[in-house]
Amino acid sequence: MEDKRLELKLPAPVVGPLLEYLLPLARETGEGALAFDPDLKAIEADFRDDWRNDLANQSQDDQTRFAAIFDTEEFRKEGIAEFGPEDCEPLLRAASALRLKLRTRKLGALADSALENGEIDFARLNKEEQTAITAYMLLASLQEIVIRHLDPSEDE
Amino acid sequence: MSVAAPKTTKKTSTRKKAAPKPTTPWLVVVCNDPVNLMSYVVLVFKKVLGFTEAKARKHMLEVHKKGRSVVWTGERERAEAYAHTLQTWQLAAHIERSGDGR
Repeated sequence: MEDKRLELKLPAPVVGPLLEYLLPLARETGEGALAFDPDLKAIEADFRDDWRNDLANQSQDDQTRFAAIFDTEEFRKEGIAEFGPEDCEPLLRAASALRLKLRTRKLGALADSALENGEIDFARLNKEEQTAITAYMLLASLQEIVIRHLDPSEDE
Repeated sequence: MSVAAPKTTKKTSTRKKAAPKPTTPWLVVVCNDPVNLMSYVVLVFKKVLGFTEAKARKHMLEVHKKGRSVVWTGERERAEAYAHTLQTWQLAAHIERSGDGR
């Protein structure tokens, strides 16, 4: 892994509103931090609550780190976020959790195939869905940048 | 002088040592979801399971095309640990006993 710091520069007028949209999702706590319902059918019943709590805590930590990196004056004004190698994995997991939350809570009307293939008719979405899909795509771009940083051989 | 050999009192056990019970292996299964990027899934497989790039891609494509892939097989405790870690990476992983395919 590269150990240099990574600087992300995005157009501030675009990311400002998206940040306001994503931060409340990223700051959810407890069960709210869980982005999906884990399949625990084969896990012993006595152990399931601990398992879920542990997942929720881990996910909350990742999303809190995400919020801390982007909720800065510099990012709001200049669109610049800087983070180190130790932030890369939490950021990736947080971006994945936030995308899953957006998918289940805001983009439920879209077909899986449309999301997977990126075949989305933006004009047919309502305002809320437009914001959600833009945030969803921004998070994917962020993940791609971080993945290329972590693993330069990854070239998709 | 000859000495009579002492009578042996040692009992010869006819019971064979019990063979270890064959334990049914546990599977770690990852199911498809429409959200996580292919490149992300490949990275997670490499990091969590120690897969090579080629093996990670093979399993990622299996998840994508067939809906699921068995990414690890073995004892329950380790299967649980892998499934839990994959879930912290937001992948739809679970464990199941071999032969219990859903």
